[in-house]
Amino acid sequence: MANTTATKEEASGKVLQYERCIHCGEELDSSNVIESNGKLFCCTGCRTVYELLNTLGLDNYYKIRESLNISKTAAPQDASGEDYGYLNSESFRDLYTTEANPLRMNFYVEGIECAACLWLIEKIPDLVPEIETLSLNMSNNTAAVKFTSAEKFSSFPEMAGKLGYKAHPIKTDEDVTKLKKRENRRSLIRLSVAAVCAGNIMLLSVAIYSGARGVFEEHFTLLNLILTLPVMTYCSLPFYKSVLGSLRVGRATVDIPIVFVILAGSLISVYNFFTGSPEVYFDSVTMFVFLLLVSRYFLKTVQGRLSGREPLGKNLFSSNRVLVRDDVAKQFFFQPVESLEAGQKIKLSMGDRFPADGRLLSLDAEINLSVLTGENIPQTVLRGESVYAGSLLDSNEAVLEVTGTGSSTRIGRILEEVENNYRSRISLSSSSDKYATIFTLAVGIIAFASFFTVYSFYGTSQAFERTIAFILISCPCAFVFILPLSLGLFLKSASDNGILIKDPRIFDKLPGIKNIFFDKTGTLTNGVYRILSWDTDKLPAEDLAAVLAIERVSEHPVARAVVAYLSGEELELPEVSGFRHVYSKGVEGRAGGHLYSLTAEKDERPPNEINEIIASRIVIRKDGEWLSEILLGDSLKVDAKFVSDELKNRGYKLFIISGDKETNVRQVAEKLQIPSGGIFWEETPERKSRIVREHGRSMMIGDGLNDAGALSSSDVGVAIQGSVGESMKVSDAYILNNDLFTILDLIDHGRVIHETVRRNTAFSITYNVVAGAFALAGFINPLAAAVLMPLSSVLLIVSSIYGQHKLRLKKREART
Amino acid sequence: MNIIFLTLGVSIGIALIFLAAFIWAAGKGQYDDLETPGHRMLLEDDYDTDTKTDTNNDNTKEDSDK
Repeated sequence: MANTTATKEEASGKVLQYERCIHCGEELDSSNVIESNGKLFCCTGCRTVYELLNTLGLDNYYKIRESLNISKTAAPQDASGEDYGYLNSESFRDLYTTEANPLRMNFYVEGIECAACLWLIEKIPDLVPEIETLSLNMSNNTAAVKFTSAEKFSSFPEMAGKLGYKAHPIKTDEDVTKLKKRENRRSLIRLSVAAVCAGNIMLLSVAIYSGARGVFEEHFTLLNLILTLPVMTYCSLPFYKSVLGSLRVGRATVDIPIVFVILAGSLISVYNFFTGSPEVYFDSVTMFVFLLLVSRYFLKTVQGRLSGREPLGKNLFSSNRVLVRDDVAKQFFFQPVESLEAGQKIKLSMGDRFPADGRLLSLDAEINLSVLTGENIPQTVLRGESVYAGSLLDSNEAVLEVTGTGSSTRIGRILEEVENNYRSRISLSSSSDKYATIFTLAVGIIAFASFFTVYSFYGTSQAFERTIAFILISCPCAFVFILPLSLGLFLKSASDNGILIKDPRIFDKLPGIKNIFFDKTGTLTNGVYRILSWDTDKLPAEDLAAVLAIERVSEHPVARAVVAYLSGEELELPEVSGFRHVYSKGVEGRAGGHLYSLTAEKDERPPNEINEIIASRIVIRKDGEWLSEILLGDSLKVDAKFVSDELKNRGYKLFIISGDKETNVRQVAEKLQIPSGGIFWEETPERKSRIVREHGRSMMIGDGLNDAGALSSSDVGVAIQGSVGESMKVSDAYILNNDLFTILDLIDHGRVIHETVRRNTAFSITYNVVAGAFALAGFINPLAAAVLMPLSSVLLIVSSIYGQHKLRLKKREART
Repeated sequence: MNIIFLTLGVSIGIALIFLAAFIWAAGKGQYDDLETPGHRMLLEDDYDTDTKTDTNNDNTKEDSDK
């Protein structure tokens, strides 16, 4: 952890000694420190959680964290405003529980990072009497919670919210999870059977090779035969199935030569055993199957673990319920979002996400369209105008008539297109599949041709012997088990570095990338709209208190920034009256006998701080007189400059593609020295996706749903933390930490794995040509096969691990 | 030399016993979640223990019943 800090400091070009927030370990800078009882916090969220943990006697959390050497965790998720009461109503109960377990609900918990979180979450049953048992699975961040009564399902997410975690109920498709689990157990058992058989066969074969003859040889070989039977039947079953499947659709897969090797090797050995010939390959065949099963199991578990970490389901409509007007009862009732229909009237309150497209029925509303534009500044919508699903309501209350739900909403259509995009891309076969197909064909043709050649010179038995030896020896090691192994290692080491890779085949594409596209808000910048400068010292306390009191009423991002900025001050708040939104400008309200207004005004001044991007200037007026002004904006991530320079040094062409206004995008481009030809502003999600596609050989790095199209149409899409579920779904890689630095890691990883695979392929082609030639010439007997096959595998494994090792060395170098 | 066949039988028998044990453990779901129990074990030792944690995941129980 200390290392990351060092690089960050380098990146910002200045060395600073940071104080850390006592709860989340975030580095503190002077503008956002909150002090309470001599302890420093980065935000009120952290303070609340810290105090709560102390009052509940759960401060062991910090000790555990310390003992694990973890200095930094995620800031608490802001779940305080959530009302989970709806979970207790019947319609939701039916949705999230099953008949078999009416008292159990599963939750996806956001913010789980280490064992200290595990400890804390599993303490919840002690704190909440309604919760009977709770079990957290850290590999996919889900908690299975058993409640004492069906009316108390809200108690878990509420408590978790207080502790700083956000919990979403998840629908558990029990059949699917059970099926997956059973499949996993089955392959494990298959693997163990193969291990036992292959191991024992090896022992017996060594005895035969070292000279056991006569009755021993005969019995040992018989034993080998018996031990091979389960391997060639039970253990190899998945290969047979896959070959049958691929034959049905008429496609060659790597499994065809595998099955060929297994069947040819074992059947010819059985035949030779009964005819008394010494040419038996039981050891080679079983070892082959065992190695194959190991490498596949490894890849599958690594992949399964990664996919399990994605937030499940439609995060976008995470509130799950909506107030719907019942025209008969003339009242609003909660209804699950899934059953919403066009024509219904729904009521939303501040901070809600629109679950559907609709027409506004109330007078006006402030709406945050960030889901479509990526920008956080709300727009005003008037009665009768359309609103889109996914946007956030930023004013008090809105009633609308639903015009479209689910996939017929604008966002739904975008998502559908994005998913189609992604699916069509994924089905393109990667180069490894291509190699495998070519290889399969080549082996088949050569085997066939050589069989007849040898046959014409030496007769049937020799032809059989040599062809079998050839097929066995030219076992497609590099493709069938070294590839999954290297990919598994790649995925694992990437995930250790905070990169989740969903489609391991991006290693094919990473080295070819020329253009890198960045989204602006949330990717290059922190995406937090906050106060950059405000001379509060010059303001009388009563005015400050009045401003705070007025802004507390509003939920506008500006207001939230002001409230957060002033949260450290101790102010006596006056009563506010006559609060109203001034159309598209700001707010005003009466407090302490004066009329205060806060309105946005144009500002073209260049920002002075290196990382700051000024988005707006708010002028505060008291009874119409200028009182003070606030500069609001976003700031670049500390490592943005360093990463962009490094990428440029490596010869990549950088682009910024944003839904934000021109001035803001230009400010960022200037700071990162990206030429004006490489920036795009006010782009819709649809256009973003087209631009990325037109450039080709592109990598897109984005964070929001508005980037989802671009992520899926780029060659390599990288989503970074904070992404909406959908954009993660269509990206190839997902960066867990918020550091842009990790992109460099990803590129390094891609290059190393590409090299490793190429080296392995080259090696195995050479090996196959040489050993294959020997086999056809008749020099390969069972002993040679037993030695050569594992030897080539070991060499390839060493080569793969060497690649990883090099990567680690490189990383260490980069750090120092 | 019959002793060799005896030891051979014994060794394969032992192998089968371990295989059976492994299959039983896999069937019980002991390999379903390899991450959490490791952390949990460390915590239970050092920090106060008697939580109502259901260490044997409910899912597992149902499966093994069937």
